[in-house]
Amino acid sequence: MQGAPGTGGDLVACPSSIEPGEWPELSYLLDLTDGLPTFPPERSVVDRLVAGSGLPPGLALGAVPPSGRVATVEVVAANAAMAGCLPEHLPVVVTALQAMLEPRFNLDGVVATTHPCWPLVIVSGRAVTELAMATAESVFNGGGARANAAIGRAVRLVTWNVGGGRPRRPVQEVFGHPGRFAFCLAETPGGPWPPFHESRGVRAASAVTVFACEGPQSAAHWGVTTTGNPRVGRQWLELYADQMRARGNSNTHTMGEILLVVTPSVARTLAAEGWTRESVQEFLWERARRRLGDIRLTADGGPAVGPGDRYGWWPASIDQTDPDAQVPVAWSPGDIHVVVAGADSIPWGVVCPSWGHLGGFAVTRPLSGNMGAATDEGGAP
Amino acid sequence: MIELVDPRGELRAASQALAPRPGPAAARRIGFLCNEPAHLSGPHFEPYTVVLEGAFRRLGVERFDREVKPVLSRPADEAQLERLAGCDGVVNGLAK
Repeated sequence: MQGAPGTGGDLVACPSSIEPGEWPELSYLLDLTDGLPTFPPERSVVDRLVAGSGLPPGLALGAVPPSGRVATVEVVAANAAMAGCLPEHLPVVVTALQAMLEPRFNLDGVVATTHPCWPLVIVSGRAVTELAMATAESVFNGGGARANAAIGRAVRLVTWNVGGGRPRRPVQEVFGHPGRFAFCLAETPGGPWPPFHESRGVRAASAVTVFACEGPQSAAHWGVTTTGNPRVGRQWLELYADQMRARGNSNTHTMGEILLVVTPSVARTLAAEGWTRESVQEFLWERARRRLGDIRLTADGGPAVGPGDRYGWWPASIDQTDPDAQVPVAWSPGDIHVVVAGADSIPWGVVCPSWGHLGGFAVTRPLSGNMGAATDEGGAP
Repeated sequence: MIELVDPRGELRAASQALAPRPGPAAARRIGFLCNEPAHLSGPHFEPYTVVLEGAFRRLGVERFDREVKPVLSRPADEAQLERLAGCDGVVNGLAK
């Protein structure tokens, strides 16, 4: 190793140059990875990635919690190089990070919480095809595509290296989340409904949404008659609603936002029955509810509806003295996010509960550059 | 040889000094900052602070200030921090 600059502070500086074979051990020695091996952040690779972003290398994207160190485009590119990103992946990584740094997302809390949630990066629109992203089998773990895995991994490494969050220092996750290694999903293009980001009010060819959520919980279609059933789609939705209102979900107790991912065949079936994405959201908001008396229990198992049992975060529309009050799992229909992805072999759905009312709320941003050329004016909600 | 870019960005050259620690015997005013309002599953910070208050009084603490954050996932708001600024020490917790 040569020329290690003395930048001071609590961290040992990364040497400016090494022999290629020195990187794996150096990365562990300097705590530059969360345990998985990485590529070295070579200057030549980083420069190509920066060029791919179309942004100046020194542009500050924001302070990344919990350390508060500033992520410049070059630093993000260094982490993307470690993740194996290609230059065309950089706009997605940068856009995801910008979305995560919006106050609404509360990245500081998401990183450090006891809860097993992590920012899911959802890519929708033209970029999915242009980046050759996987959308079918194994989509929640990258589907074997470089883009999915590298983008999700780059986001993770930025939070690790720039944000500095480590287990117990100060990350308090009780169990953790396997998606912390990489958590990126691409929506299947060409489905019956407009791209996911349009339901979020962003009119663009491509967009990136970040949403902090748990891993996918299977909602398999057991017990639903599929043959000759003209209302099979509706019955699938009833089944998803049942999965969404599980008593241990934070959503059941605090509302917030929640994600449903359905396979393309489910989306086609629903569309054939006349369902739009919006009508699906409305239906789920009405059906994914749980009786108050089954949500909060006294020590003897009865409904906890006394003055001291109130959840202060619920809206006034919930009568907290009525054990039969039906409590929705999300603040509104629009807070139930519906994405189409997964294999086309079997109709299926998965539910990703969230951190409830505490943060990690979905933020959608149009992709810059050709992939995100706007089709209409639209802003990020 | 390969040239590297440090993926951590600019490392801090200086660390912030910690606030003065008066020590238990010198403290006269203590704050309690609970991370969220109480509900049936916790936090149980309020009864815990009653126990702590007794212990602090035996050490000579004369005044106690209590604040509850509106939501546990975000820092205390500025007004709460200002109200606690005169304390010799603040105990922050949840006790869930």
